[in-house]
Parts: sequence; structure tokens; C-alpha cells
Amino acid sequence: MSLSTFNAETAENSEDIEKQFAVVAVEQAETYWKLISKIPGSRLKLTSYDDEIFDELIKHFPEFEDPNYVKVINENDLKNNVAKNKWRNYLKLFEKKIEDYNFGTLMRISSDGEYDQEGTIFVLRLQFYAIEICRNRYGLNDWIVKKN
Amino acid sequence: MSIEQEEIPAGAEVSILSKNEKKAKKLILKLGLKQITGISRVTFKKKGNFVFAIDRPEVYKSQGGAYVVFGECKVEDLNKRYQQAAAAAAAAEEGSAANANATGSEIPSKDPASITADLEASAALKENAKNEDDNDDDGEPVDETGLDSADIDIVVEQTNVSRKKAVKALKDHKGDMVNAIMSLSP
Repeated sequence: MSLSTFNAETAENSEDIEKQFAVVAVEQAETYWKLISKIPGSRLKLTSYDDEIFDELIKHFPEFEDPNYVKVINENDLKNNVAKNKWRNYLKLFEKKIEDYNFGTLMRISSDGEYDQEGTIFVLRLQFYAIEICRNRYGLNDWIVKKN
Repeated sequence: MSIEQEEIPAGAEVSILSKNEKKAKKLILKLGLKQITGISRVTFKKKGNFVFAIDRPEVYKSQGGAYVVFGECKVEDLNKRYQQAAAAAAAAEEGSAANANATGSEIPSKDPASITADLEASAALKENAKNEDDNDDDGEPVDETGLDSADIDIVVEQTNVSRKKAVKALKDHKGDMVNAIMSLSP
């Protein structure tokens, strides 16, 4: 019963701790949504490396040049084995630069949608930035400000 | 919140010095926690039917979503209930109550000593942040090197904090706008 018998090797994931990640992810999503509700995405800068994130993304994944591709993201395109390898190379470029670059982050599947149960997927923070920076630059998120 | 706590067997007659508890409470309350009312019982479930139960707790929520719980922590072990009953009977014979006063915390598997250390560390950080706040009005120019003035404006606008704080948050988060705003939001 003693707490000092805690063994990291055999410990199970604490459900409470896992929930904490969910809490942070939701807070991050809410904060981002508030931000793009007040400021048109096309005028928004998310990190100090937005240009680099964007340029490298186009270099690694030319398909993101097409606004229609960015508008509605196909989860399988991000998460199949080939894509995962390509993303890994891309992530490496920013692991020292972007805070929490590999944190699980909620992302809207479609830039036309809100953060709701069906329209949201889980991606890495850097993937979120890369895609949302594209969406912002293409003006795909500007409708959110006008809606309010 | 003392180290002895971890060695308390179920139903043992130990009461921890309230001095430590007071000290911990004072430190924790400095962290800007919000009290949550209407909670009647908090339990931590551990492996193998062990349960830490705190009845009528005082619950505080931190900005990051962590909870701090004060109250009398009782260890309930469904497997050893009979032994516990026997121990309680033995304790009753000696004419003493068998309650342990303890301060519970959100992360049951973490060593209490390190939790205290964490809390002290963050209290110290908070203290530092406060001291900087006090210097807010001295008209000293803020070093905004490497930051976009428009970004700082957005953070100020979104969080209603001083420009200096916004600059500090943006720097702390390497220019990451969303994280900076999150760190400043209540």
C-alpha cells in the first residue's frame, strides 16, 4: 500500500493523467477558436516560424499548395505509413523550434466546420500549425470572424 | 503532507502534524486556484481495489486543469476489509480513534515529498512573477526583440494583461501565440 512501492516499469497509465492531456487539448482548441473568431486568420501569425513551417510544408507535401486539399483534410492522408514517414522528416526540422511540437492537438477536418465531435481529429501540434497556417493564408478561416 | 503518510497502514492510528498541512495549504493557495463547491466526496482508485476516499473535501482547480483536494483522507481497501475491521477492533481496545489526517492530491502515484517540492517551486515562480508585476509601472522599456508588435497587441487584446506580461508570455512560449494566450488566461 505504500506509495514508495511505485514502480515506473510496471505502472499502468493513470486515467487521470491521460484526462489531463485531453483537458489541455480542449483548452488549446478553445483558445485557437477564440483567436480566429476575433482576428481574421489571414492576418494571424501563430508562431515565430510561420513562414518556415509553410515553405517546408509545401516542399515536403506539394499537395498542400491546393487550397481545396487544405480545406478538407483526409485523416488517412495524414496517418498512413508512407505519410507518417514523410511527416517524421518534416517534424524533425522543427523539434527544437516549436514548443510542444509533438503534443496531441485537436484539429478541424474541414476549415468550414467548427470544433465538434464529428468534425475534429487528433493530430500533432506541428501538423495542426502547418495545416492551420495554410488555411489562414488561403483565407479559409476568415468566415469565422464574419459569422460573429 | 509528510513522508510518514506513505507508510500508514490502513486503519492505523496516526495523526500527522497539522503544521505541515497548514504550510502546504498556504503554498497551494498562492497559486491562484479556483475553489469548486458542491463536491461531497473524492476518491482515488488504485490498482487492486485500493481506494483513497476524502469525504466533504475542499477542492481547488488550477489553470492547467489539475485539482488539489484538501480533506481527511481515508484508505479503503476492499480486499483487506476484514483485516481492517480486526485492526479497528484492536485499535478500539486501546481506546483511540483510528483516523489519519492527510492532504490528498490529484496524482496518487506521485511521491508526496516531490509534490511538495513541485508546489514550493511553482510558488517561488509565482512569487517571482509577482515581483516583476510590481515593476510594471516603472516606465522601463520592455525588450521586444524578436517579437512582432502586432502579435503582442493581439495577446494584450485577448487577455487584458499588461504589454510587459504579454511580451514575457510570448517569449516564454517561443512566440507561440496560442500557448502564450493560454498561459495568461484564467
